[in-house]
Amino acid sequence: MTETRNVFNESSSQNEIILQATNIGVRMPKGRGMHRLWSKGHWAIREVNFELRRGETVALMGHNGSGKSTLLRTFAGILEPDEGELWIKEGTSATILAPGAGFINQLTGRENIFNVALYHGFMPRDVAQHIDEIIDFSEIGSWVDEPVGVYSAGMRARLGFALSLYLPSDILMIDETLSAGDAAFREKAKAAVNQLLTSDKAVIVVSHNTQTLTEMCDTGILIDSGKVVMKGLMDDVLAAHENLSSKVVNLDVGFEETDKDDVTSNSSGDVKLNFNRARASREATKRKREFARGIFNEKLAGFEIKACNLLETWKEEKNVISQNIDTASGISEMFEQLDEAYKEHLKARITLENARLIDLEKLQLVDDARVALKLK
Amino acid sequence: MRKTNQASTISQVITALEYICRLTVVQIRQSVKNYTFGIVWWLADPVINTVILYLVTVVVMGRRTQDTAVFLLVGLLMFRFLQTAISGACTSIIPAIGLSNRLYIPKHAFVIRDVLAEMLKLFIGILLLFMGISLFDIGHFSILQTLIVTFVAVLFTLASASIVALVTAIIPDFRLIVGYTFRALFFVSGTFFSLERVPEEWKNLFLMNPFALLMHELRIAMIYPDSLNLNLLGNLILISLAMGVIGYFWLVRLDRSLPKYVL
Repeated sequence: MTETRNVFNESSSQNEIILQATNIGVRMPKGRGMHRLWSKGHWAIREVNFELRRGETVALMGHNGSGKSTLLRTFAGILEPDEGELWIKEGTSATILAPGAGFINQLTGRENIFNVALYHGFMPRDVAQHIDEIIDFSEIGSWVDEPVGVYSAGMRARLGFALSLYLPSDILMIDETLSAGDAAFREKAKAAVNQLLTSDKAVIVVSHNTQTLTEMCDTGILIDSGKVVMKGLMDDVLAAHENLSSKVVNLDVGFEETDKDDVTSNSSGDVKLNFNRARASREATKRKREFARGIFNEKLAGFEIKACNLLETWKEEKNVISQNIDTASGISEMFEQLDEAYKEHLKARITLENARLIDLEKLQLVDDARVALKLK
Repeated sequence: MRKTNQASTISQVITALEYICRLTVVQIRQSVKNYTFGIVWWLADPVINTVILYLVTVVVMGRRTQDTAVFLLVGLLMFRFLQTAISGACTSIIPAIGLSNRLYIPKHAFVIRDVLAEMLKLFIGILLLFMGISLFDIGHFSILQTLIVTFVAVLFTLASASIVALVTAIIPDFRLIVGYTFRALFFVSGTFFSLERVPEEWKNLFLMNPFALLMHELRIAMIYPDSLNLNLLGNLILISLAMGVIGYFWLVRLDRSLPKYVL
């Protein structure tokens, strides 16, 4: 029996669980037309157990078709699980960051902002107070009053992204949408998302960019063929993800490798069949090698990028350390000067004290002389 | 505790109504902006169809009475509302599935939105007709009867639209069946002929057709000084409520399953 969306009341506190999936599975039908109604379908996700806490940032990794988007859509309430239980804390909203979703080409950017907010469940009065910030963030300027149909893809994505960031949501799910716009806007978007990470929102990030995931996420989940393969710290999950990706190189095309001289002489038909099989195997092997070479070159390029990034980081750290050393020697010089000044101050005090003592002695002599005169 | 629950329930209902109304406004704005003379086509549509029917019935077939044009216009107004709203429900859910795959939006909101948008057109048409009837002193307009008939028509349309939208989302071919049905209904529902022309033994059966009943009753409300057939309207209300309960129950029940099945 499937139960979804049970609600409970819990006191709010940081690290409280706000989403819990227990053995959830979603079956998607196959085929076309009415055949979809009675097709067995396939399990897009199965036996997924997952907990999300307030303020947590989780990376969701897996190759294409592994079930990441299906999982996010299930959490967002778009799809109903066919088995298992999904619990979301009462009053908690979960949305997928979907820039551009719901845009109507005939309406202006400004009108679309209100429309899309309405689709998210926010009335125009809720959005009106943020409208200027949204337009500023999107950097589309006066184009906001033109029909969205004339926008470029980048402009649509920027406006949609800006709007999605300003719509409050307790659980934000980012499904490979951080690549919108040009490099400057991407940095801006990343900074805005990073700001969200420091708040009490929970974020689930899906991306193929390992650097983004490492910077943004504390923990990761690796999903493969609809099942959770691994959960844990980012580094461990990333390593597992890379291992899994390298196994994809081993394609199985259904033919065994044979030598080109693998020819039998039973009959002319058998000879031709075996020769064709041998040729198909050679071609399969060639494809495998090219694919493996492509993966290897990609990994090499990835390592090179990582190495360059590390070098830059080390250079920056070295500069910082040098500056710190300079500052430290400056401070020690100051202390030496202070020492000298203090010593001078002490000398001056001693001199002053001596002068006072001399004055006191003189006064004493004067007093003694007076006394002597009186006695006389 | 109960008062708080009641207050929150009322608040939720008000919020839901506001949400539906705003969605309807978006839908109207979009449909108007699709065309250069957007809103003009709204108002011109029943008039153009009336002119065509007038030419056919009066000029070609030679049937003419004092209020032929108003008779045709009232009938067409109601028929166009029923046809556009119910046929439109065939395309309420499927085009919205793309959006629904990225944002959660209740599917029944799209169905209600489309019907309400057509309802606004009906109201504007009735208002203009009322002004014309008053100006030219044709017929006998009753506001209360008009409101009753309009209410029943909207209720029936909402109920039918829920079932049509759901079935078409799962079986797209149903849209064609709906189209053919309306084509037949146009000719057998009294759009361009009155109840008097129907043989006596067929009248009861004729009025069991909801489209024929609604057109006839709207003509009584706006043109003729007769009383409404409250029995038949009451039966239609009950049938509509039953259909509506079934339709919206399944729309809500399958709300999160439809995105899996609809392509």
